[in-house]
Amino acid sequence: MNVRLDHRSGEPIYRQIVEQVKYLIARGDLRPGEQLPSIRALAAELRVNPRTVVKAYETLQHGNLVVMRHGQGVFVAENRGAVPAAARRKALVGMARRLLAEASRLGAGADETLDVVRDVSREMERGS
Amino acid sequence: MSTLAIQTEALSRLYGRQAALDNLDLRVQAGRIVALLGPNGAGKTTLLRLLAGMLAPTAGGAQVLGDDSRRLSPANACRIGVMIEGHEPPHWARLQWLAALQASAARGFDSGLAERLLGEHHLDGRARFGRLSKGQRRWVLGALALASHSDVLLLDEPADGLDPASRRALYGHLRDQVNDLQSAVLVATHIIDDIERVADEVAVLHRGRLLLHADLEDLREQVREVDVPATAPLPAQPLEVLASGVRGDRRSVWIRGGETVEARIADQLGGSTAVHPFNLERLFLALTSDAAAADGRPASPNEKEEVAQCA
Repeated sequence: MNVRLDHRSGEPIYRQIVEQVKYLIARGDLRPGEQLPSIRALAAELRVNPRTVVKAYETLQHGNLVVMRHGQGVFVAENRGAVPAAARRKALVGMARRLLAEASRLGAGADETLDVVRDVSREMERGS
Repeated sequence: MSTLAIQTEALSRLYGRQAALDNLDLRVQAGRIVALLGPNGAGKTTLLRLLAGMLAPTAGGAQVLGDDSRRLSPANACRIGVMIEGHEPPHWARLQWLAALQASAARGFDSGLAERLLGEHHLDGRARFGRLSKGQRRWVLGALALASHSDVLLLDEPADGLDPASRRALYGHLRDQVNDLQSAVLVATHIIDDIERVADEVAVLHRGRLLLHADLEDLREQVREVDVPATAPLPAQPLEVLASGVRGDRRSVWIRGGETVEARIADQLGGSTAVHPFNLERLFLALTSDAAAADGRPASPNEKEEVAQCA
């Protein structure tokens, strides 16, 4: 896997791995369902402590970007369906709270905010 | 995974009335590489010699692989690899003889690895140690220490005299070995640039005292350097001041503040404060500068006193 580390940047190594794997997934270099190197293999390749790789993979799993299957390995998450409905709802509730709080700071009510969300959604569908 | 390989308790060593090591508490787990940093005379080599059982403490003690360092069992002594100044082999010794000697002393000695490592520098087994350059000698000693497959490695400036590519190669091999064998490694050095690539933890010694011992990833995540007016009060809880140094009318402060350190700094010091990423060399220099530790204590353990001084 093409990951380059900068040990002097001040950025934690695990986070550099997280960001670069995210980028590889976003670009499509890593496809949904594709297997990532094992913890041992990536630690050996990057010459870092295996704990650093564990932390990176756990962070990616927490962000629903990869799935760690015990005894099988680490895989790029299949899009959307991979997040269980309950967890999805919880995450959306959090985002909605933040959005409504920010909107109210600007003086916008829930109705106005929802209208904008619908408009933006339509724009994105047309765009894609 | 978290087996303690080295543990010192109030470890102290006097030379005459001078304390080379003062009340040192240090723990090193298996599978970890600890960079032991400190200016010349900080006590780094004394610590390694004490742990290797070459020197007896004046007070306190050290346990290595569960044994008191003064009474290492022969079985455990074979599991400790040492590369310490002043313990060089005789100059007339041929490399193949040194490897054979090491193989008889270290049970897990990997002759194949020793040969490969010597081969990386095109060193012939028939060459005599004394005929090699300074860098080649270092490489030979490093190769023999690595090939010994020790559970504990005590290395004193292992990369001294090596060219940049060889320094990286040596530390790369060290990382491979620690990942494979879960060795515990203490590397004393003052070349921060190289060790930063491979170390898991940093321990800073100054005038015999341990000023800082922390996980390097945690430092990267949780420590920032901020630039404030010299007269401004030092940050308070939950921010922790690791070091500070005044230059003209500005003050650099190294702040530890958990995973949300930047948000906390903005909360306390205002959003316009200049915040710099963690840099090990700069923190090290601040911790060990004479001004910061003139009385032998960490840079700013007592915030009240500092603030009073500024007012």
